[in-house]
Amino acid sequence: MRGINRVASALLGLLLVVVGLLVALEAAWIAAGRAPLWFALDRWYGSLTRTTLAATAFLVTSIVVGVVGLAILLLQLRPWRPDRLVAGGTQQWWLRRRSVERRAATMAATVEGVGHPRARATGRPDRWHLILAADAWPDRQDAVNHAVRDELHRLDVDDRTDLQVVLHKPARRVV
Amino acid sequence: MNAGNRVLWIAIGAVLTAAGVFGVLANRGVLVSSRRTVVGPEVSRRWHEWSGWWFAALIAGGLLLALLGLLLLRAQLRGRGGAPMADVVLFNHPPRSAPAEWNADAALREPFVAGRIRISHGALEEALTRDLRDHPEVRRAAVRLVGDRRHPEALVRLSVTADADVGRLRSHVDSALDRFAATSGVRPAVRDVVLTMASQPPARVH
Repeated sequence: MRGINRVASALLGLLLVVVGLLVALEAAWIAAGRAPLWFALDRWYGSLTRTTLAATAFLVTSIVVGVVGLAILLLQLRPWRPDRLVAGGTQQWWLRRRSVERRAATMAATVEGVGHPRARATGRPDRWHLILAADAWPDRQDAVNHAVRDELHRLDVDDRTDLQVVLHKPARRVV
Repeated sequence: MNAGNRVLWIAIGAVLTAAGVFGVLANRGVLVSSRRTVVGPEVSRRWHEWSGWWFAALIAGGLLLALLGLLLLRAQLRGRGGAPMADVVLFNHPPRSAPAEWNADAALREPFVAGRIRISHGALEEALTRDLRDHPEVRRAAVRLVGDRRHPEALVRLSVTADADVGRLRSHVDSALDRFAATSGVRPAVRDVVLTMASQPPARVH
């Protein structure tokens, strides 16, 4: 979403530059006594002075604008997962969330009898916790916990970072 | 920048939603009479009354809009951390009082040549980037130097191998910054270091 926002903002900036310059140039051109160049102002004015607020076109435009605005609001206001997570130490060292999740899942998969590990880091970038889910029998809990903790330690993650291991019993024993 | 963009789009979303709701209510005749036209005759009357001022306002508004767009575009393209650090300029000052023993050295009897050396911030970033890359656990590196030239800050992005040890990488970054300070005279503070790890350990050759 951060990338989409950035691209959208860049496009909006470009649009504002183009429209702003066109408006300024067109206004200067008309002020000099010339006919409009780019904007069909007479046609727009005629159309807007004929269209009433009760018109279907006005209603449809309002609904489209409202729905687009609501969609933007919902996308922006829903909680975003952090794109990076703080590592330990005094300096500002960060780990990409996807990297941490991938490494945790990879290390959980090295434990015998563990299948389909999925890691999910949530919370704030500077205060996060990791949930690791996998298909395994409950007796693998300590081994998975140990493997993931070791990996987090290697990544210099604070030992106090919460780790939750959720194991689902497989349909048959995973080898 | 991420937070700024988010606030901007929340504001745009709120304005569009409010405009849509207002339009639907107006269409239903709740707020204003739905028999009114979108643009009324008073707009034309005011246009003619303030003719010259309208043009001035439109030109000023258009230019302001273009300027805001340019600032928004620049903020997106400039990247993280804000404005880049200015180039470093080193001056060759004349010697004030050379020790007597220097006179014996032929090299030091060379005539003094005044001048200055300009080192672009891009060259400095590239130098630090190359040094950071020179580690077996670092696959890619990117450095951005920002802020004041006397107190610059470094934003470092490292793409490292899956089996990289972050503790060792910290030492490597600190050593690289020390070497950078010794050779360039610039000692940036680390604003942040972001690590991306490869998905799998590299294949081992036996």
